[in-house]
Amino acid sequence: MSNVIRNIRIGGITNIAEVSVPLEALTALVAPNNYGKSNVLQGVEFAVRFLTATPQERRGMMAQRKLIPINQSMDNRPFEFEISGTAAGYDYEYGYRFEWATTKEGLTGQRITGEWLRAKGTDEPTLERMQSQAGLSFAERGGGRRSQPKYRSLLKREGETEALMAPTPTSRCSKPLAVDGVTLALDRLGALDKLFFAALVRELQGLSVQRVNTLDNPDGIFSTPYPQGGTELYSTAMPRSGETGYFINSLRRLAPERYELLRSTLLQLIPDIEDFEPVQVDLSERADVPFQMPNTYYDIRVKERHNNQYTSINSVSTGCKKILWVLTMAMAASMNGVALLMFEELENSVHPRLLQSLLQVVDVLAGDTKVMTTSHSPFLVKYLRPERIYLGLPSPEGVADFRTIRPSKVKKVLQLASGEDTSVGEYLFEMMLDAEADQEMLDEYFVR
Amino acid sequence: MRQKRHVVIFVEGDTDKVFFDRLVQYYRQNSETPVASCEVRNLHGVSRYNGKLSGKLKGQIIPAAARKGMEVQAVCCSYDTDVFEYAERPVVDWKRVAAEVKRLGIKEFCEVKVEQMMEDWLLDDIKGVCSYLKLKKKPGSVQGQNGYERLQHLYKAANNVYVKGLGASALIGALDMGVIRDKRKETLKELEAVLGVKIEGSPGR
Repeated sequence: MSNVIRNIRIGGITNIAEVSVPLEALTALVAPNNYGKSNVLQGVEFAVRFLTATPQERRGMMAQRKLIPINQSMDNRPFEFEISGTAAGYDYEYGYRFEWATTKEGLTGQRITGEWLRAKGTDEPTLERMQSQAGLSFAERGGGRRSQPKYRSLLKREGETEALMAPTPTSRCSKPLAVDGVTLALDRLGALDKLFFAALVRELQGLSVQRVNTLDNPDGIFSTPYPQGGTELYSTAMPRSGETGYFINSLRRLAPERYELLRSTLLQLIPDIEDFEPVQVDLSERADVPFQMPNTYYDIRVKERHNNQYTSINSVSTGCKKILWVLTMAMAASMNGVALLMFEELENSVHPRLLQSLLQVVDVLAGDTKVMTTSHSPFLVKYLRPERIYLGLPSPEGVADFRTIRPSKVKKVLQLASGEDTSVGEYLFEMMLDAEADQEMLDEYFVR
Repeated sequence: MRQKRHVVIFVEGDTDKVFFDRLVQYYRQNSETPVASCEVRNLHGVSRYNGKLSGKLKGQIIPAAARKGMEVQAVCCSYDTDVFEYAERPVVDWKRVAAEVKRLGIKEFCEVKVEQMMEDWLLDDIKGVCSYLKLKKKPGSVQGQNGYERLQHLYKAANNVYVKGLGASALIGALDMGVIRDKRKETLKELEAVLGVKIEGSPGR
């Protein structure tokens, strides 16, 4: 994976004032219904799409009615997005800010007003190492104090048209860069020759996140007459809706080892399925024409333990279909360098006892791709480390307030949970539901 | 009439259930003395451990044993001393569990503390693991911070995914229990004593 993200911060969208989520292999956003879990996923997807949108598209995006915050405590709050991670040999923090469209007279809106990129080389020599190389003793180097390379600004923008960049590795961030209200400075940097951090800019422009809605009806997930776009017979590109069967067919042909891994994993997870294999039927007649219309029907056939024949995967249970879909998407995300894979309610249609195994498997198949899931299931959260759970806590303003447990409180919560013979995840879940605006307790136990 | 001795081993998950079933089988095949009647019960996690254990003993195990002319005379609880990434996380008060067992009239209670987790024990027979995974040779170093991660690393080398519990049955079936038992006999000493196992100099009853 060329771009490994560590943290996402998003705010000023729908009912999200500000949410900052450090990403581990698998992180969960847990909250009651209608709280704003999906808004976070939608917001992240929106923010990443904004990076590569055309100026025209951006103008439209900055006026998307269903995303503009209408909570009264968020009036005029700009949209803000920041991502941090490691890419192209840098630890980086990149973000931007824009004002939403407004209908109020005298106010301007629909314009990008801030942008920043700070970075430090991952193999940059630390002060300590340089001093050591210079022959300074441990004491002369300041004893036990450790120094870390500092982040430096490579790009700064405050306002619609004022952007500054660092032209060389040693110079200050002071060279003006022409931008406007619908242009990101990142667009301009991407077009420059000989930019010393061009590789980092390319990684940011190529940032990819994927949202999987496991609440969708699974009937249309696998079978499709032919994939959208492209003329290639097979492709392991990230499958779109309805292309899962096509993807698995392609996997078998183009990446047989991965296919075997997917297959053996599914058979382990669902012992009732004895075998499965992708199939395809070409419905078209071969003709000597300039363009042969692809008309191949892709499906998966499955042998269930107690059945006397194979059937289409559409005949198996909703849960089985969803599990295969989730596994396929995790593998596809890993193969396609997707930085973040987001599931809506991963637990949907999955037997509680299978959840622990599903979490393990998704973690492994997703590889370096970070996974974030929404959930309101105590069955799922009980299998997660408390630090990986972000709880939607009650807030007086009605905005989403996702927080995690304070590191200093983990031990105490573990003791309290044990006293009640319950798991930490379940205990936290109960705390979330019982919190009822007890702000003191929330502040004592949880941190944003 | 003196009732026949029956021993119950409580475990916390599918992997441990398969392992202890195989271990008991190994004892029966290799002990120089007769092994007590024994059953392995899976409590599926450690949440509400005391309540589940008590309920199963009272409601199912003790009456069923009595119907067969047996008496539950010993209870053994096996648990991992560390937890893997996706484990439940309550801390079980083992003194409370021991007191509950005593309250039910069961005389003997012992613990098997699996250091750090069951996967570490499975890796004691790394040759067997590699053979099961059809790895031509054992990798020079097996990466991972714990047994689960190290086993996952080996599975990855074999283009496979280790799923705790579900994937353990076939693996454990392929391992040499003698190798594992020899390496862990100190930890298993109490269990072997309550079962009446005697293997080449093991203390037995």
